[in-house]
This record gives sequence, structure tokens and C-alpha cells, in this order.
Amino acid sequence: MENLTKLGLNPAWLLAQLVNFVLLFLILRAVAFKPILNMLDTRKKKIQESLEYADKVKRDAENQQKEFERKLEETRKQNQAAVAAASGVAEKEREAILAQARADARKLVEQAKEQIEYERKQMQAQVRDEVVRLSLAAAQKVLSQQLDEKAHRQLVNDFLAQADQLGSRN
Amino acid sequence: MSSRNKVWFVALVFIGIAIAQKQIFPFEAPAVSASVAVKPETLFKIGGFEISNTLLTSWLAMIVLVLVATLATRKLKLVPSGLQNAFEMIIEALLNLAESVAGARGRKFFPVAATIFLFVLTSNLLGLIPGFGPIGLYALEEGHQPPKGIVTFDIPQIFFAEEAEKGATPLLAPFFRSPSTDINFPLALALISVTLTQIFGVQALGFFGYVGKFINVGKMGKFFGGLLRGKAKVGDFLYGLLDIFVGLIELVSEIGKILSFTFRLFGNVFAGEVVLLIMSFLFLALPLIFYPLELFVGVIQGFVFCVLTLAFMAIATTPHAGEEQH
Repeated sequence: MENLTKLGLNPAWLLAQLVNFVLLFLILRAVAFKPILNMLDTRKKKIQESLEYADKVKRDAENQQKEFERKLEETRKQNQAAVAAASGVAEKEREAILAQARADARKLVEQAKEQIEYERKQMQAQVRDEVVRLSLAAAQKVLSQQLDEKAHRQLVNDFLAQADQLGSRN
Repeated sequence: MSSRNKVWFVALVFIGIAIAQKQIFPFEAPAVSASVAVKPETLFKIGGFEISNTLLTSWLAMIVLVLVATLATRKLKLVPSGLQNAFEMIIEALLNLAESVAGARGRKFFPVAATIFLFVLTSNLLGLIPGFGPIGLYALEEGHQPPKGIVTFDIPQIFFAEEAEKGATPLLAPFFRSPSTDINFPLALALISVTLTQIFGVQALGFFGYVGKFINVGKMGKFFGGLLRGKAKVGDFLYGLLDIFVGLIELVSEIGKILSFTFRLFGNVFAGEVVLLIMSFLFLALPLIFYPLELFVGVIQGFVFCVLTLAFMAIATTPHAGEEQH
């Protein structure tokens, strides 16, 4: 203890320094530590919230971007489908028109053929009648004495049947 | 400039200063008997209470600290700037330190540790302000002569001011002196640190849980219990002896903490002041080299005091691992 006193140990001063420390501690705690710790906590929370908010905003933006792209894609597909559908309809229409035209043409051709056939037949009949009449007249003149009317007609008809066969062969 | 050239440059500047000093001041250094007394000097008395220069400096440090803290936290803003920013940085660094040393309990220990750090740091740095040493009162004992233009500076005087006072040389009592060079200041801090450590320990572990670290008779009790029932183990006796011994060592180390805290801070700062003083007597610009060193010591000692306090508190509040194992 003697030596400590030599080193300057003094109970009064020691007590004074203890009081100093306690005083400083109380003042600093009230003035600095508590408010600053509160502020640090508040700031930490705020920063965390801000970061979370930023994240959320970023996520939202990304989602919106995706949504937008999805819609864009959808629209593009719809357009393509519409175009495809439209072109399909047009194609069908074209086909239909073509078919119609073909059918019409065929019909016309057939009608024409029928007409031709009819006219041919008519012509044939006329020609046959004419031939019959001419040949009758000719034959009457040549063979008027040798054959009676009945045998004559039989002869001519045979001949005509042959001619018919020939004609149908044509 | 290469580092070698820099060294030469600095050396030349020093030599130049030394020559200039002799030219400008061709006379001997002024009559000041600078003394380094271990005991702080009493400046005046208020109602029987002696006000020492170290006490005055601690008050100054307190005023500075409270002033800075008040200014820094006057208008706390969420986005800090200026003084608030700087002060918050220090506080946050200390808080991080406390939490890294003591984990979740760091917040509880933080105010004490931070106060210790700031107080020690401020008073150490204040003590290094040029002019603190040489401006003061001549503490003239009755019948002593005022100084007569000769510097007396003998080494023994540095260490024992009382003996110096017995001599004829009057002593200069600076107005301000670093509180850490007064053993009462580090001792007060050490007492507070160690006492609070015990209180936190008891709070965390309960009275018996904490005291059980020092008086560990569990194994011994088991041995004697076994002795009564007739099946005592020698191992229990040996372990019991060891536990009691370890407990005693722990007890001594608690007291040792007070001493080590006190004399670490006191010794470092006191030695620093002595070194600066001696250097300034040897050579005008020589303290320049030691000044940064002493600044560093001043900061480091505050830091060490703070960290050790935190560490001891963390250890004191950690349950004794040994008790759970057996």
C-alpha cells in the first residue's frame, strides 16, 4: 500500500475518477449510444425495406416484361392464325371457283356434244330419208317393171339396215 | 524520391534544425525543471479536495466527449452527414467489435466498453496536445528558490517526484496531464470493468453458477459422499483437488485483471510521456519521431482496454463447459 501511495494512489482521486466514469457513461448513454443505436437500427430496417421494395419492383417489372412478351407472342400467333385462316378461305374459294368453272366447262362441252350428237342423228335421219327417197326414185325408174312394190321396199330396207350399220360404225 | 533518399532527406533536415537551433538560440535552454512525477501534481484545492492536473484533464476529456456527442446527435438524420456520420462510424465500429467478440450479448456490454474506449482515447490524445506539458504552475515548496537558469534533469527525479521535491529544484506542475499517467484513472476504469464483469457473470449464470467457477467443490463432495457410503474413488479426490486449485487460480486471475488493466494503460502512456520529454531535452525535433508512435499507443491502449473488457465479459457470461461434461 505504501508503494501504491508512492505511485500516486489516492482514494479521493480514485473516487473522483470513478464518479467521472459513471457520469460520462450515463451522459454518453443518454446522448449518444441510445439514439445512435436506435438510428442504426432504424436505418438498417429502412435499408432492408428499401432493398426488399427494390427487389419487389424488379420482380414486378420482370413479371410485367414476361407478361408483355407472352401477350406479344400470343398476338403474333393469333395474327398468324388469322392470316393462315384467311389464306385457307381464299384457297378454298379459288378451288371452288375453279371447280365450278371446270364443271361449267364440262357441262358446256357435254351440251355441245349432245347438241352435235342430236344434230348428227337428225342429219343422219334426213340423209337416210333422202337416200331412201332417192334410191327409191332411182330404183323405181330402173326396175319399175321387174319388181313389185312390196319386194322393192324389202330390198331398200335391207340396204338401209346395212347403211345404218355402216353409219353407226362411223 | 526513393525511400533511401527520403531517409537521407529527413536526416539532413534534422541536422539542419540542430545547427539552426544552435545559431538561433545560442544560449542554454530556458530554466525549467521539467520533472516527470509519477504522482499527479495538485493544482489547487476546493474545500479540502485537491484538484490534480490529471483530474482536470479527465474533466476536459469528458467535456470534449459530451460536446462532440451532443453536437453529433443533436439532429439525427436517417441519411447521416458530417459530424453525425463520423461519430456514428466510430460507434458502429465499436458495436460491431462488441458483437464480434461477445456475439448477441455484445449489445449489453457495448455501452461500457464504448465509454471506456472513448474516454481513454480522448484523454490519451488530449495529453499529447503540444503545450499540455510545459504550461503550468511552479509548485514551489516553502523555502525553495525559484529556478536560476539551469536545467536540472536527472533521471531518478523522473521516477520519484517526492525525492525531487526534497531537493532544491522547484517543480513545474502542468495544468493538464494525460489522466492515464495518473494511476487512479486506469485503476478506476479497471475496477469498473472487472466489477461489471462479475455482475454480468452473476446475471447470466446465476449467483451459484458464477461463483461455482471459483469455488468448485463438486468433485470433492462426490468423493466424500462416496467415502461415507464406502465406495469412494481416488480419481474423484484427485479431480476434486484439481478443480479447487483451478478455481483458486481463476479467483486470483480476477484480481490479476485489475492489476494488468491498470498497469498496462498506466505504464504505456506514462512511458510515452517520459520518452517524449527525454527526447525533447536531447534534441529539438526528436519528439517528432516519437509523436506518431505515442498517438498510436494512445489509440491502441484505448482499444485494448475496450476489447479486453468485452472479452472478459463474454467469458464471464459463458457457462462453464466442464460442469456439463461430468
